[in-house]
Amino acid sequence: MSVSELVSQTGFSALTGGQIVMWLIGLTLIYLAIKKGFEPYLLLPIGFGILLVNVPLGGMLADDGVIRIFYYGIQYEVIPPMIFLCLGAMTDFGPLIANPKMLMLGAGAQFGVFIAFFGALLFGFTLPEAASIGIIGGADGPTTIFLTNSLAPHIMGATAVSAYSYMALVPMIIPPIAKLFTTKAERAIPMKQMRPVSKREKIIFPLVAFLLISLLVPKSAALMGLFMVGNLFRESGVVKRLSDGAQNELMNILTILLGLAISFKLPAEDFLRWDVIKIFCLGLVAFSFSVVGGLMLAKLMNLFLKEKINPLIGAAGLSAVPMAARVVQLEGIKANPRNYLLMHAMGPNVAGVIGTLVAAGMFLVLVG
Amino acid sequence: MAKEKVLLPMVGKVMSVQVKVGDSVSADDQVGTFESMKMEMPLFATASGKVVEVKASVGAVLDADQEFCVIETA
Repeated sequence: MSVSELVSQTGFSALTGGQIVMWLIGLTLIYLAIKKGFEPYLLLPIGFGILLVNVPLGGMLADDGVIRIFYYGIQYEVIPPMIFLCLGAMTDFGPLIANPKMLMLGAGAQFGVFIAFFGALLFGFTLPEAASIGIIGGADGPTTIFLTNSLAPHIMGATAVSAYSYMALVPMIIPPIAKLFTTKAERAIPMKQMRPVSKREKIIFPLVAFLLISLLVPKSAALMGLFMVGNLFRESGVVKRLSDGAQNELMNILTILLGLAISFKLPAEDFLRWDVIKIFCLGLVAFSFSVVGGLMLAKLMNLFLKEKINPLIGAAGLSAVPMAARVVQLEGIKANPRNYLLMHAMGPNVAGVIGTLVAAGMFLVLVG
Repeated sequence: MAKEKVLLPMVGKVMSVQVKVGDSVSADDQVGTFESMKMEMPLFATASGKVVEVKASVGAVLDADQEFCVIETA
């Protein structure tokens, strides 16, 4: 074999400029995950996944390639619903059951989903693409991936990376918007201790919530059903091993698979397009308006409520569990050191997950 | 002399206790920290006075509304 033939067998001969740009993007995500701690559980595997699918001649995306095989888990709708099962096992609906009004804030924080949906239509995206872009505003990775897979799989790389990147930036997105739309006096509104929630209520909730929401929006039944079955594992108290397994081992395995599988949609030729920049811009619009929607709805509710709520907790309606609730706690304590909003913010926070599932179900009916 | 209880606002694990019996504290002085949902938060004195009892110990998990310490107000 001659030297030139030998060189042609290596990746160097087939390396493209686009692939090198993707390496830089992948390395940036890895840097942000390790150095800045930005969503490391997802950005680290996604970052390395970008390297995996952008080495020439690596064969990762071929029919028998490892990333292609992982991707079947998304394509056949296995991984996102299973992640929801794990999330259900990790979710305490207590704060929402104690104060069901918070469900409204979870709905209010879907405002950005619809703003970005219409924005995407104005930018020339098709209806299915616009719905997939809008759902980024729900700040919920698995739902974004699930919906994009059903409606517009060709833009999944961009919607997924956009959703997870902005989720990592929630501590930077919420505070300035909260300060712009609320006064210090509003942010200082103290909230009373929540009532204790009984075990019976916690067991009944996932059953009733699943049946009710699935009847209202049948297309959300897959994700909602697994979310609630996971929660029943947790609250029933009789399958502790399943609950623990879902919260820990299974969640970890699925996180690895999801992070790597997404990279199937991240080779240079799919990702380096002008549309991706538009999707990232619309994703930020979606996140921002979801925060605004939650805050403004909380302020609107205060016009009618005798016992005022701190509007900051509306911002936690932007799912991103539990990061958004933690940011609300930090902002609340700045305005009033005796204010502990964390648990109160968990109500809209988990309601936001339900709200995003419902929005995704609606898009599947209307656009799918 | 009234006694003011400093209560934990939510279920949490005591991470630090920054007062001891006999300390004088002012309202809004930090008396300790606790962790809830993997987030460490400060706990402040609810009144000015002298600490007469410390019920929390580092590592203990307290329920919402459980006493952290007791302050005797002047």
